[in-house]
Amino acid sequence: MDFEKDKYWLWMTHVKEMWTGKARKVLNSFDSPEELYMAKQQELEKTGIFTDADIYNIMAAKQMDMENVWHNLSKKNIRFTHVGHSGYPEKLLLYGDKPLWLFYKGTLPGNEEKLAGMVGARNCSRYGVAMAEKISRQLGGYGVGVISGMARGIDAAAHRGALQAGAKTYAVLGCGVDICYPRENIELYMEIVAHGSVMSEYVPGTEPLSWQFPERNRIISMLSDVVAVVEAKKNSGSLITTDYALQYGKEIYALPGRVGDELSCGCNELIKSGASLLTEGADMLYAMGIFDNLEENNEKNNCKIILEKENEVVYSCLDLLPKNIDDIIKKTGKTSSEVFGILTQLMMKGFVVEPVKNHYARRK
Amino acid sequence: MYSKVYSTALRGVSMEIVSVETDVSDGLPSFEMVGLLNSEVREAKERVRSAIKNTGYLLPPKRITVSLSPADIRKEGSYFDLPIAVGILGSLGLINLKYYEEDILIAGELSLSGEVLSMNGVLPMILAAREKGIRRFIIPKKNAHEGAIVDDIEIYGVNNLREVVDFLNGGQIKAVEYVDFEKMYEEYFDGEDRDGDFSEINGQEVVKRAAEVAVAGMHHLLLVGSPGSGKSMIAKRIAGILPKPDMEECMEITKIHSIAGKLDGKAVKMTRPFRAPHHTTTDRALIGGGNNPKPGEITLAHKGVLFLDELAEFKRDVIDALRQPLEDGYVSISRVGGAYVFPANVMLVAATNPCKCGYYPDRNRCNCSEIQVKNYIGKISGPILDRIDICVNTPSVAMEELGRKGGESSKDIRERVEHARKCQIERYKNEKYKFNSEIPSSHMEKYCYLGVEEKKLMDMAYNTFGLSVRAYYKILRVARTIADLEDEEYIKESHIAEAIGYRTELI
Repeated sequence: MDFEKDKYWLWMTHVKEMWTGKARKVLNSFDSPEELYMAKQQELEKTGIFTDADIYNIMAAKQMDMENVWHNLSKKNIRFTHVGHSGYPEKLLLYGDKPLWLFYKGTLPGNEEKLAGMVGARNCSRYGVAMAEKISRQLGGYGVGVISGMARGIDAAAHRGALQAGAKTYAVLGCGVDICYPRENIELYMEIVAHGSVMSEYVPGTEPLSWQFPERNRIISMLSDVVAVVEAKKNSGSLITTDYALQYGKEIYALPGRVGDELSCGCNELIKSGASLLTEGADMLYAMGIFDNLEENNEKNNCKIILEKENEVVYSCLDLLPKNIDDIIKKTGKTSSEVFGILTQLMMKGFVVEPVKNHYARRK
Repeated sequence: MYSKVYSTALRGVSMEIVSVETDVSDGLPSFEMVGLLNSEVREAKERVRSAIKNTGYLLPPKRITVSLSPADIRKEGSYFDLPIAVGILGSLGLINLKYYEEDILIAGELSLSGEVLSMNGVLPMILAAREKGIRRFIIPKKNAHEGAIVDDIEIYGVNNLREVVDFLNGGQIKAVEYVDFEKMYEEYFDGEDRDGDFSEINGQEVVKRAAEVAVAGMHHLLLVGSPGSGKSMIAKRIAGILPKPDMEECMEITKIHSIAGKLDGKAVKMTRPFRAPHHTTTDRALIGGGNNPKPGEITLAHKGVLFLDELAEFKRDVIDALRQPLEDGYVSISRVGGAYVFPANVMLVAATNPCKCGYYPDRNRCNCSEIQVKNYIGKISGPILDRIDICVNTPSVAMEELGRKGGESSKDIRERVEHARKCQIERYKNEKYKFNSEIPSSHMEKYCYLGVEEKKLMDMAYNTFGLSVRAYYKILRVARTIADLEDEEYIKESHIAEAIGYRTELI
């Protein structure tokens, strides 16, 4: 990054209300941001693409001390890239509605890096979280990075899975990269910055507003080689990501669910209309052009848990969705203190979790 | 002429004897009452005047002065009407009070027509008066039987002022018949006037078991579950598996209910109370209070169950006000006139939904985010959760369960509870406390002794579940109770495992 070279681009991003769509129009009329910066008010008016407010904003932005802005960015470790810049991801250049610039913390994905997008519901089930984590961990095992939106629920689980596998993971935010939204994901945010990057086309300091989120979904789709949907309701925002993915010609995978489960409605609908069915990370590899070393990475092999017979009886009637203690007692036919005893043991050994009071589920 | 009769004033949950002095003298006609009177007592003037007139006597245009002493106690309630009327008639020479002066207590509200209306607090009044040597009572007929269990006294129930005058002038009224409380207690029919039986509950085995453990060790209980999963249904039945109250407890319960006017025509209340205040209640309604303090819901639930449905919806300060009474077993309210102590020994049963909509973790019905769920549960005051030893989830009842015959009856469960209680009374006979839930941490080693295996299990649980020291002790106390229910001298691994399942960790 070089201040002298990039300062006009940076200046342009800081013009008030210079959203990507408008910026694209502007750059059709002007060769570069520098030209825009140099343009006099009359010249701006002559182009006919600006409203009075736009012109006012542009003129006002010229008063900004760009050196100071630059300094503040580097203080926060925020980097900047734009179309035509050497660091700009080549993958994005293919698409008409690409972001013209990106702010990011960490390192952007390399041009050859294989990336899988993973999106899904925020208010998801434990099953969804566990599956998202598992699949992205498996992908990580094959050296595939995971890109998502760092939202609550599935997004966060997807990032976490990749981090567990020691793989790269990238988050595209719907707000400025210096803002951690939602706030409770702050630890995840730091981890992602350390093992990949958080990026955004919005100027640092931009608050998370609802209309910005569909837009960031398009960047997730552009950067991914395949897109996976884990748990989505009928009109879920995740489906915006798949719409973009279709537009960009990406393969779509969806995690199936029971018919009638609201959180699986969107996914089942996708499968019905032609998306591929996703049950494990390896499913997505072919679409990304990875054909080798599938065997040794398979996590399934070392997943088999050997338990005493008594414990096995209880463990076998659990799954990823939390089950009430009463149901477990009924299924196993044991007394409540026996079942409590076994569950406590299994929890202490780390095989079982109790996500909700008296509801038990397998850890993975 | 001067006359004097006795009546009582309510003070907290006890009664004090008040003498009603009347003087009728010549002078400008007036009717004055003195002695720190509340407005309802001051209004007695109008009622008494009309009642006397409508009974057929003429109030002469004289100077009437009524004094209620001791003058430094605030007099409340409407039962001073009758003694005042009797005093005036005595002063006028229409009743000869000489014979009765020291030995009779009169209480009751008058209607304008001279009828005597019912009153609250008969039993504590009679007990207080008997200590002072008063043996005869004239009280409203509707409440007369409430004092029937006190021996060595005569109670005359009256319907109107005319009967009182006739009686005091030598007429006859049949005294209320003495009821032998001990005999009545022996004959006490089990299960009467209960709000249902445990055998009516289908499924919910774990919850029923948790309720049994909670009752056996007097642990406070929290039920978490979706709407319609039967939280209130179970809570209502818990009073029925508490051990039968002994005679002393019956008296305490009856006294409180007599003051609150909630005896419903019975001489003694021999069932444990169940109180379920609404979640919009105020701290005064719950704990007791007011200028002249009155008992609150927690006192009405004394020796029984206080059920707080929708615990998360209660105002925080209301719940926090419960901390001291739950710890000490009584409520202490200080006023300028002195400190009032109300008994408040309750078993707390609370219920809450797991989230705002109530269906978490059923994602087909619940769309609350994790944060919303946490916030909802976070509304419950931490200090109260600290005092709750057992927390259990009430599952929604599956369709196939509905038709099935329920399990054990309340009576079967109560027998086991009574056995476990007996173990505790025996074990703690030299201690200040009576129940496992009250074992102080300093006595843990002594009463919750753990073997090598058990210790190992607890250590492991401490680390894996990230327990606090307090939670650790709570698990041990509950395990102790489970061991008592199973008649084991020492806590075993299975007891600990079950207690861990009941630990108070919500989400």
